[in-house]
Amino acid sequence: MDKVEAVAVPHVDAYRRLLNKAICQLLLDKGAGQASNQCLETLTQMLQALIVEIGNSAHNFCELSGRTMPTVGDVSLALINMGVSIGSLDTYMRKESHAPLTMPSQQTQQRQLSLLQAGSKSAHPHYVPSYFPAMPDPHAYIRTPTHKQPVTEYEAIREKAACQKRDIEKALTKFLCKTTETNNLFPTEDNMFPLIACKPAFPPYAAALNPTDQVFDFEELEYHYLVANRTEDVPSKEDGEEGDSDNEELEGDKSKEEKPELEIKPNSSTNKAILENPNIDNPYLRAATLPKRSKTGGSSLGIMPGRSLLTPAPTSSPLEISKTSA
Amino acid sequence: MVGSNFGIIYHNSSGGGASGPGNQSSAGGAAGGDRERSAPATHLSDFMSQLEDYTPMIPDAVTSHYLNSGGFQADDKRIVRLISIAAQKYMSDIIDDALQHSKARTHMQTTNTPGGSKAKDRRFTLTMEDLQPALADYGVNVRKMDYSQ
Repeated sequence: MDKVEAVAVPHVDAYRRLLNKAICQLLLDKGAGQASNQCLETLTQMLQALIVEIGNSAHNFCELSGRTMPTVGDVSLALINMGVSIGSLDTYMRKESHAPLTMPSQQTQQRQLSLLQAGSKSAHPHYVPSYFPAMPDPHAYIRTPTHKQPVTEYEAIREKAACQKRDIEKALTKFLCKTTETNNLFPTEDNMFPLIACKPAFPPYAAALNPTDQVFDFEELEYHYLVANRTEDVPSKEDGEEGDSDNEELEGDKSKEEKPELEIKPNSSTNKAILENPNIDNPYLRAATLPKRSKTGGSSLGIMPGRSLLTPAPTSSPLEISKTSA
Repeated sequence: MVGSNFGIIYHNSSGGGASGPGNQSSAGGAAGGDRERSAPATHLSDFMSQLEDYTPMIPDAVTSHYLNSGGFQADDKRIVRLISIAAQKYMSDIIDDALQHSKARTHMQTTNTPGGSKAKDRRFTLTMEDLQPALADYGVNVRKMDYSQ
């Protein structure tokens, strides 16, 4: 890391500050403990203007004599011309002894920037003078390509796409062979040429006609199954019968599932099934129910089971799907 | 020696005045005394001898910077120190005069108050009220702001 040696001067002039310090020191030596700001600034400005004027005047006297390097005589002429007495300088010098002011130390503010530096700055080329600022971080202007330009030819891309597609299909079939059921063409023991078993659903359009949500939990399938089976053989099929036509990994019987889907009819057994299976809470899974033309004023079906379940009177009013009054 | 006085020859008729070489020896020999009359000669010799040891209050770099801005390029550090001493003395005289005014005012204030036993503050405060008449004597007219901090 290069250490930058330039002094970063903020908006305050350092030279002016030192003149200010000199004036303050003079005031202190004379016994003035405080001074107003305007006085200080006035005196500092006077001092600065005096030095500049002496220099200018001495330079002019020097050039007047046809020289370029000023001498003591030029300076003394300039002082005399301004009315500054020279003779008393000596006594003043002897009498007063002031310690010279300390110069402020060089401030290195560039240190903060080094934290953000990535990599090392490269050196100046030979034609660049050294007083120029340093080169920026190499990542700012040096670019190293990390990969070749990808092929944009149509034929190459088509070929690539075709290869990819073939690879994907091959990999997928291999995966399914290993995970799902397979059939063997040949009666040998080792499964050299497995075929992925095809499990058609009967009827094939059943899955399309009965859309269901994605199955997250197999226990929930039971509710669906219970809803679908509204016949008397529901209790026997309650346990462990899982199967959904949307489910890819089949473990249940498809045949059993067919029956309940074919026997959906609204009748009193429907109500009984609902009443006997109190765990259905999804109103959309519940079957359509007939509203009660009931003597019990307005007690709708489909109330949460556990409440008024005893409604013996059958109804023949049009179908009505009622929500829970939970 | 010829070159010791920078080749400047003074023909003043005062006691110490003579041609260059003689001037230098007499100035070197005389201690206080008729400095004011033979000011230029003594000034130059003093300059030579003393400025190499004495460092003025204003640093050389600052003085050089301001001299450069006025067009004055000095390679000899003693010239720079001479100028800085001259400037320092000038400001010192102004401050002296201003503080004289201030002292006079406090003195008047303490004498005007009858039986005032409070001690004069040792430390004076330099205000524009004191500085303005002091500068006016030097020909610098400063307008004081009426309502300044």
